[in-house]
Amino acid sequence: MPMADAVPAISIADLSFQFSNNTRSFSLKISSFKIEKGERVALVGPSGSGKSTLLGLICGVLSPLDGSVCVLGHHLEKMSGRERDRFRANTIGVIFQQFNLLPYLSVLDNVVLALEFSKHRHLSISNKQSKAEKLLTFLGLGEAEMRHQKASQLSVGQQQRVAAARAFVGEPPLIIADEPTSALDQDRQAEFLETLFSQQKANDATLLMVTHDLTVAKQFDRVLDLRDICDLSKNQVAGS
Amino acid sequence: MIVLRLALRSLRNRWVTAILTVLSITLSVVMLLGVEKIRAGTKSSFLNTIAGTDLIVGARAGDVQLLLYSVFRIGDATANITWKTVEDIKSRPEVKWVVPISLGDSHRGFRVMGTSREYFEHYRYRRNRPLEFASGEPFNNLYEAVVGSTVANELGYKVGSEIVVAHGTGRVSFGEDHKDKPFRVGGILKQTGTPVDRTVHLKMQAIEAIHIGWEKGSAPRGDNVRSAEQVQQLDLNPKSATALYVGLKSRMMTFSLQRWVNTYKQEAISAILPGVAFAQLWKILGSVELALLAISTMVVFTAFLGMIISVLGSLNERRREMAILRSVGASPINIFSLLLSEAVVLVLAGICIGVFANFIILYFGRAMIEEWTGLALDLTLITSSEAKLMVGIFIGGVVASIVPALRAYKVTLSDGLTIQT
Amino acid sequence: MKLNFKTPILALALAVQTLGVISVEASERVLDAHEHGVSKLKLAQESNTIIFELEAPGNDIVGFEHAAENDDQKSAVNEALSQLQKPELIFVLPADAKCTASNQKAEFETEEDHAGFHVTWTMTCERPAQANAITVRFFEIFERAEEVELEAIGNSGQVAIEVEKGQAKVDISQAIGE
Repeated sequence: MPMADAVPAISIADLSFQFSNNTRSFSLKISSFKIEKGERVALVGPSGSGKSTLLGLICGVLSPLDGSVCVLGHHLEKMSGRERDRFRANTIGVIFQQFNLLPYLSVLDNVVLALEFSKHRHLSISNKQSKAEKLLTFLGLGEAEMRHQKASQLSVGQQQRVAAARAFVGEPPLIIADEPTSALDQDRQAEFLETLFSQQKANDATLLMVTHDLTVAKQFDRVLDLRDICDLSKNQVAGS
Repeated sequence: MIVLRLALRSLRNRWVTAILTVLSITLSVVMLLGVEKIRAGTKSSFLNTIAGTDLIVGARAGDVQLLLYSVFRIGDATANITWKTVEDIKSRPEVKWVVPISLGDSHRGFRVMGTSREYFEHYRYRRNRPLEFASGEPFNNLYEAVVGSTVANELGYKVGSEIVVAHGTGRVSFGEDHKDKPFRVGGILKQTGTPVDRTVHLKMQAIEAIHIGWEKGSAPRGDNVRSAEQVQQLDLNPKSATALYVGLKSRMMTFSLQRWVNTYKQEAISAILPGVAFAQLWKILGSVELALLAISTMVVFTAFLGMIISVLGSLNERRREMAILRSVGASPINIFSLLLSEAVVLVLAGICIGVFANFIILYFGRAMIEEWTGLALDLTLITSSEAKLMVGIFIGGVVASIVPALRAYKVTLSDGLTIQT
Repeated sequence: MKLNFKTPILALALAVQTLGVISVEASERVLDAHEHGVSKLKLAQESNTIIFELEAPGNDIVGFEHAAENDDQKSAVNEALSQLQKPELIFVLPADAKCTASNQKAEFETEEDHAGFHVTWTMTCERPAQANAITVRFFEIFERAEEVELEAIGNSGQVAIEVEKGQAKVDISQAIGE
């Protein structure tokens, strides 16, 4: 048995990925990189360089052609699709750039949603809701009437905080964020990062966040440039 | 289950589209069930056009042909039966009653049929319903007619109205008619939903009377002309009949009398079991009912097509939603099920509302339908054959729902967490 | 607008076009009432009694349509007759109806140009309303037979059914049963 702390949060080796449809093809190759548990890592790189693809691979919604993606000691490439979905539900919280919420659910239900597919799904509804409410209150979305609003009625800043609440609910050990601050103004950005970091610390989670903003990236333990870790090829299919 | 809950929430969010889709499915189901009810009603009213008559005897012909002219007054008999033969049949020990009918003339597009008073007593329809008079009564004298309800309604006849019988059965009379011997409407029958409604009934003797002097096939001239009063003095006993309705003392004798008639040497006649001939005829009509059913089934599938299009159309704007669901751990199968359950909910709602709406329509409209068409429709929420139809429609709906669900499944697999274009 | 039975009439008008064929077929049957592969079963019910009459072309039962000419043919006819002596086991009424058979009579009738079997029998039923179906074992026993034209008359009405080889149960509730 290896010591728990010796297991990295994310470790990738000899990874190759290929995507193609009738308009373009794209491939990504990474020989190796690691993120340790509890690290805050900012992932940077030009747009289209494959940052989102890498996140997809780590989350297990995309499958590598070859190589290994190991999250918290679990080899995703050895799991079935079903197992990866279950694993993601239990282990990873995801925040997108924008439009993180299902417009037809209330704020509260959007947060509870993250529990519905995870190991917490067997909790009673009131249990799930109290978990979600606690987190919402902590993130400054405590007012009762706001919880029952449709997600689409919130401001962008509020939406992102609800998204953060959903990512953290159920205390997943890994948080993946894809440019969550890019739609926010300076003040909101700072506020959001503060929330993100404090919650990450409280949960003792690992945070991997894609960003374009170098001032944002600077606030992380480590900045990882995708260009440094991968050999990239991307091309348009001729004539389309 | 979370997927079903999400499906319902999502539908509620897009309620306008959802309601319109349900509405189109509902309408198509109402139409399908309506057609099915009318088909079943038509069939049972058709098969019950005549009851209580054990055998119908006519000139030798096919069963269906004999049935068509003797009951539906469609087409013509190849020959008449001579009265001697009629007497022979009447005197058979098996026979309880014989009602002769005589066809050949018409009145403003309606068939004129000669018969005896017993016709109104022995004719039965819809299992065992006798003919009833809305007003008046059976023939009291030679120049009295009894008309069916449609004849009375369309031509505005009351008891006492005067009518003139045209010679032959063409809708347009070629100037040859029996206007020298006018009839008075003596009775009007209640609606039956059978060809009786479209028939003008005269006495057998009256048919003889109006044809006195017509032996050469055209209107009498000169010395051959006899007035309405004069002919009453002549022998008006019928010389022939077109067909006979025969009632037996016991059903058990049906086949033996039928055999006797079919092997009757003096004249080429045959006897049919009306129920058997109806069954044969309905088999021919089967393709018509099938066509009706096929058309309304197509309407249902058009509604499904509309549903597929609307769900597919919304798919692109929902890719974001699917990526979110994937990010919280939903599997592609969950996404598939979500889309499938949304569609299935629409189909199910459409079917249930349709069945119920059809019942409501039937509940309030039944009396009117019967009055208008003579079609008695059963008031049932759903019959077993309709239930089978609905199960078929539901399965069809589920299969149709698989199309957008499968599309979503594929999209979500290639999209992952970001939307690929 | 009054519609009054127009729909069926319209349908009938359509049907009339098909009629030429049918009447020809039917009149041929009057001339020559026997058709290879088609047997006729007629039954009539009144109160507790149902009488049956079966006419089967010789070809369907024994494979020839003339008087038996040799020992093989004679034994074939005798074997067939012995089976037809118990017709209630060939056309079986539901057990619920509690019927008993009587007056079974089976004959091999030969005429100039054809020969056939003529069977009559009577069933007396305690619960005739239950006698609303027939289990047909005819095709199992006489493998040459292809079809039985069934006509039934009873308290519920008249019914005609073409029973094809392979069909095991026939619903006659339109004729018998309440």
